[in-house]
Amino acid sequence: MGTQRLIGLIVGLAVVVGGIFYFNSKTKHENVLHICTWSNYFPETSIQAFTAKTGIRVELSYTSSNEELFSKLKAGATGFDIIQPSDYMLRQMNQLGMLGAIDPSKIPNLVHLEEFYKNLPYDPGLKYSIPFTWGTTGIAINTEKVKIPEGGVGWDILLNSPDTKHTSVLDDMREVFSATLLYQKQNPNTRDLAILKAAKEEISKVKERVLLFTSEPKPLLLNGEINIAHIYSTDAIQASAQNPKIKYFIPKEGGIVWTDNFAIPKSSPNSEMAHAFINFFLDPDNAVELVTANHLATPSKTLKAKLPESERNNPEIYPSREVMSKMHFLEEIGETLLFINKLWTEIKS
Amino acid sequence: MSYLKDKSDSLQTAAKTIPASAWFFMSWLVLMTLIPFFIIVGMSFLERTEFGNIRFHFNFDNYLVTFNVVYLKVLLKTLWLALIATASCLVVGFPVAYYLAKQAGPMKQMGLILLFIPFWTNFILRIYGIVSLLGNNGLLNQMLLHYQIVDSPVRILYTRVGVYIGLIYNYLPFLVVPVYSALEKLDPTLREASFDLGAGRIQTFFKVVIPNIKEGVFVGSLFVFIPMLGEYVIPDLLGGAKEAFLGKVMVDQFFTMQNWPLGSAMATLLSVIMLFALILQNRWKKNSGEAHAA
Repeated sequence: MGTQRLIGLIVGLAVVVGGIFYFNSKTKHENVLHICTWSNYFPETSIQAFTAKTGIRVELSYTSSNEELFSKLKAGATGFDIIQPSDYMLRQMNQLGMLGAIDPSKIPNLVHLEEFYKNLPYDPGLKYSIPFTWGTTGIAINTEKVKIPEGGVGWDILLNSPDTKHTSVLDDMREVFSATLLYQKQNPNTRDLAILKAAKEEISKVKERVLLFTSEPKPLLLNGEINIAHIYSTDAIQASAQNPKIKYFIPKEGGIVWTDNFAIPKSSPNSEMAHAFINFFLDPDNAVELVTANHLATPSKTLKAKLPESERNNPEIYPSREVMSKMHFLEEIGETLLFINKLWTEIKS
Repeated sequence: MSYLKDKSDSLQTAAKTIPASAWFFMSWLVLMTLIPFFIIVGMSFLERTEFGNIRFHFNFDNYLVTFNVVYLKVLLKTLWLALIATASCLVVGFPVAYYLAKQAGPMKQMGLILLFIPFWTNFILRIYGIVSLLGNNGLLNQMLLHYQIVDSPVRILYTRVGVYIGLIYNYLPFLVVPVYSALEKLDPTLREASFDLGAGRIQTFFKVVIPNIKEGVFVGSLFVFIPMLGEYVIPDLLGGAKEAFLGKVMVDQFFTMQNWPLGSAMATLLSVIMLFALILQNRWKKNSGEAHAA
């Protein structure tokens, strides 16, 4: 009986451990590039075009937030060759030494980028990231149901909503805090605890005024459940393509601007192929479908010139210089983040 | 002390009676549940660095933070939510179990299958189904408006009521099945004897049926109560994420804040509460067992 038990135990453990190694090794093929990206981001045809040209197979995995991506990498998910973190997450990842260096000599298509995007505050000189697409965070309004104020749209229409039972704010503490701080004429990246506490008081009232917190307001806008939404520009423009009464606004106090980037994790076993992939998608012809389908803005001057008129001259996608001057990047704010999280929990408790 | 000794004796006997084939499952449990659990417990005594790394510096700070008023409020709110939802499950689920247990033949099989058919669909899809059912423009409100039962849509989605509906809907089968199998095992002659001895239907139900199935009811309640404590998808999608429950707060510590040590402390605390509930159940079972023997 004793030996039987022992054999059972050993066989059991062997199956479990062996299984892990088996499935682990199965996913590591030669000539396969593993990319962790946003869902519905890369069109299938673009990926096929890349494989046809280079012979490199691509396996996509998806992440729904920067934080989830970070957690996956921190938890030891190795084998990703390309990740697509946003600006503030790039800085955090780089602080922890998680990113490999970018070799510009392997990416000749960098020439297409506008100079401005080669010197963004979170990675001047593109040492470990390449900006690929960008967008903004603002407000979408169903103009059939809600009257647009004459003085223009400000954050008050969201935070002190005239249609409280049909308003949503993003379920993202950084975005909600920065919206409220902009509304209160403060710096959205402030580390001043007193100012943050004042913002928290406001958000507690906002919570009572709005219908819900959600990071996916698009379907709710379309089915009429909400009429005013705190939203990413891409979602808003996709919604207005389906219902032209839905319009996207960047509040007059300014909004948040973000970039999606290419970065290569230090743990990537295929840095060479990863560079090839980045170079491929910096070629305007290869990225035009992706950028148009998602209504994203491109940092590439060559690509922008190739876009259809409706995209290129759309101020919802490319705000005017004057509006852009009021936009902010979310910065990495260190330990202040923990403080904001505590306030956020207080708001919701 | 003798209680502990009893325990270790019974554990040894238990180990001896486990068949060899079960050791596969045991090793799976050890590798996939027990070891990760101890990693979580260990991590709860460590420290987060500024950028979200973990520093090996032994301290109790995470527990001090967890005992902050904010988090205690969240904990109490979560316990209350789970308690109400469990009680509601019991109210809704008991008649279902009772009905099924009384059925014979194909109806019984059918009923059990119907109970679990929703689980063939993905959990998130089912919750989104409820969203489209309860919304202001959803099926329920459309029907109420159509038959002029109400003049304006009833706000259910994105309220506490919506959360309760989602919780009851999703967890009900886990309560029905243990109660059903307890009722099933109940010897029908007991009920007949009770009738023969002059007890009415109501008296028989409370004095004969309930005492014999209370363990099943308790197990069923635990089956729904415990996972509800960690539930965060339902309050988010049906409650509009306006309230923080423990599950969400913990997930946020792991995935948004990169504060694994604090999240681990919360998870450990929750596990202790759950363990406590199980010990309580065990004690109670033992006591009632002795009462029966006497």
